Amino acid sequence: MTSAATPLVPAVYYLRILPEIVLTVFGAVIMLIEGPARHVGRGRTTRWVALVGALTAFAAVWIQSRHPGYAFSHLFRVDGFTVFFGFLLTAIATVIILMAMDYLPQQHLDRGEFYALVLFGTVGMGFMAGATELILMFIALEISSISTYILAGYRRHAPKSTEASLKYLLLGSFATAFFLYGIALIYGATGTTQISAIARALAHPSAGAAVQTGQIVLLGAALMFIGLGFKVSAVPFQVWTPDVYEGAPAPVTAFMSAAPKAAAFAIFLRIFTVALAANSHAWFWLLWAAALLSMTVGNVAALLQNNFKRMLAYSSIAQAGYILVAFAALGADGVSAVMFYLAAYAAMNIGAFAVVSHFAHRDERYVDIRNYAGLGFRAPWPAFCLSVFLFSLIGVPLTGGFFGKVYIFRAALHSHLVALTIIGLLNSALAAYYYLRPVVAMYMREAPVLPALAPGAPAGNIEPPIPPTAMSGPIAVVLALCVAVVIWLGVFPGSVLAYALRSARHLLHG
Amino acid sequence: MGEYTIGRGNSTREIAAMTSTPSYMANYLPILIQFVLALALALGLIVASRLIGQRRPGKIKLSPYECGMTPKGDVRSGFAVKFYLVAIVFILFDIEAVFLLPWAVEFRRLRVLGLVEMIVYIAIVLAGFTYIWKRGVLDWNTPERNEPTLPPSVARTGNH
Amino acid sequence: MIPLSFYLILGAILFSIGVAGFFFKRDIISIFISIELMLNAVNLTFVAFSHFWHQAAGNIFVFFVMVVAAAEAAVGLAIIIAVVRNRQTLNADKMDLMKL
Repeated sequence: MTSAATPLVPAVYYLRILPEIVLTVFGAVIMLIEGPARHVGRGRTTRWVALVGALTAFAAVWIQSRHPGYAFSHLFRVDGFTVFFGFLLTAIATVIILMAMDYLPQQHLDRGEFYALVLFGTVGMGFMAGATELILMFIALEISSISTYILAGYRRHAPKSTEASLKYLLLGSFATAFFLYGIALIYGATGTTQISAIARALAHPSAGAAVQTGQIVLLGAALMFIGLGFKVSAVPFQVWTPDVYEGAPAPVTAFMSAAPKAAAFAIFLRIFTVALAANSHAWFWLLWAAALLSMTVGNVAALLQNNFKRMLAYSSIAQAGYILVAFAALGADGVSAVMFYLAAYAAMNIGAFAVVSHFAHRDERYVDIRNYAGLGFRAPWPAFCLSVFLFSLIGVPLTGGFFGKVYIFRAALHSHLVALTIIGLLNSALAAYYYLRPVVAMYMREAPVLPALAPGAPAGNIEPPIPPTAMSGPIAVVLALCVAVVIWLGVFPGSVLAYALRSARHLLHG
Repeated sequence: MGEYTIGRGNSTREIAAMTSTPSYMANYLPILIQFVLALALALGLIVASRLIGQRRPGKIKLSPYECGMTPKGDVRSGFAVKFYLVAIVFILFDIEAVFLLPWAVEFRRLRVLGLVEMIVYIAIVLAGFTYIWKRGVLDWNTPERNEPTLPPSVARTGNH
Repeated sequence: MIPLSFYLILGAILFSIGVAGFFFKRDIISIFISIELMLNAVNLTFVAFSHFWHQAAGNIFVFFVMVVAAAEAAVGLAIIIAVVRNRQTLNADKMDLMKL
């Protein structure tokens, strides 16, 4: 196999995984700084290291994009799809680190491990985006998942947070086992774990073994669907989402709702639209049903929530439903709509969580929607930003969410998914109600006057208004960035969509 | 060229051909005999001692250890968290050595590249090791740093 | 020689026992062990298929799965310790601070 002239591993392979190398190095450096540090507030140096690391990785994605092609015996591929998700994921990591700079000192949790875990998690997600081999996908998925399990329990003295972490861990590893079993069956049926080789083997099944391997492939596809359904929190695999989103620290919830979900959709797309393309008639209905259920269940349950984080959790289930509609539309149109929506969704959802995280205060005291009464007058700028994000989540024109939904439903109509489109539009209308509730609270409700009680005494049924909170630099940057991206995607969606369409064609046609 | 392939085999084998090989069980007959013998011996000894043995229970004979210390208190008294930490760390470093095995097998073919890759791998593992070492996980004599001490009621685990 | 299907059926049975344990056990540690059992069932399937295809790849996958399972177990135990410190119980039914 090896000739003397070509080295076993050409140097360009390392350039193709440069973002991941950068993130790993910075993560390890943080751990080395963090280990010997002895006092609380140690995050002071490490957070800047982490920020530099995430930005360097963002730049490294650009270098990566100059060297398209396979790396490490077809384990990893740099193409438009990988690069799109690379930019998205490193940008999310950067924003989350900025958010944590504001949140962690507020919660007296300012330790460097948080930043190292965010970087390591991003390594896993970067590999998920580019992996073209099932075992690498599995390992990458686990790297990202294990990091987020720990992050979910980062407020480790808060029972809710550790409980969220435990639930996430148990259900997450349960789902991973299904995913892995699916991989094993696909490997058994085709004798390979490479995406392109699987696609070839399934497109031209050998005559003798056709019946039996066909069934094994379908079983494997179903098992992988279950595993990935958990990761993107599609109904009926969503049970963990509300509890974990409510219990995890707010910046972690923002991270979980954007980055691992985007990366999970990346491997979802690669496996199902490339490797299992020949069997699309069999798994299409799974996707169809999951999309329908996710939209409906997510939106209806969100109507009933008072906790802001829990409401956004159900909203994220519904949003996963919209994305699955685009997925079910298949083709380059559908895939590009998924990618565009994931980008818009990341910006608006992280923005919303940034506001929640900023106003949470010590021990996440103020995370009820009723706490937000009258906030529009006391904190005009954050309230304005939150309104922009919520309008975008509804899908109001001039926001990224609007074009995201337009592309999704356009792709669905092109693929004759009329029923899904109608139900999706009805759901969007329904969702407006709960997205508008915080806006109404902020601008049309007076802050309740609390009866004079001893400080710290429970105030009965009245949710106290959020006390005045000073804007910190990092959170201002986060909000400005998210608003800018949401508006930009809502006004000039063309370039991002064109790029997504190009990468989708690249993904589907080799 | 230059690719060590993973997961590509002769792709036209039939699963059906594998499922019906005659008389494969014959090879496993000795194992079956051994199972039966072991079972018979164990059961026979227990039954025999019941039948012909004499029973004169006394206080010392009924204690958990006939010689040695008299057990005191509840056995489920809870371990110091340190034990769990060391156990967790042990699992990780123990299993990480598994990757040395395939590398050792292919050491000659991988040459310098393999060596460098393995050094990088070990360096990453060592970074983790340095972290836990500096955080004092391996330090038995000092109390956990930055850890609030547990109330005594929490030190017990496993109560349902 | 034992046919491939025997290994696959054994793997499927072990996996199902793991799934059943996950749903019916009330002790967190037992739930955790059930998940490990599921992963090991998959390992068995991998090795069987690897033998069937005459490839080393399937055996290497098992290495990776083992390492990943160990990492998961380590993190899991750490999280369980944190939970026990906060809640003083290992019963999964008592994990109900947030309504499901």
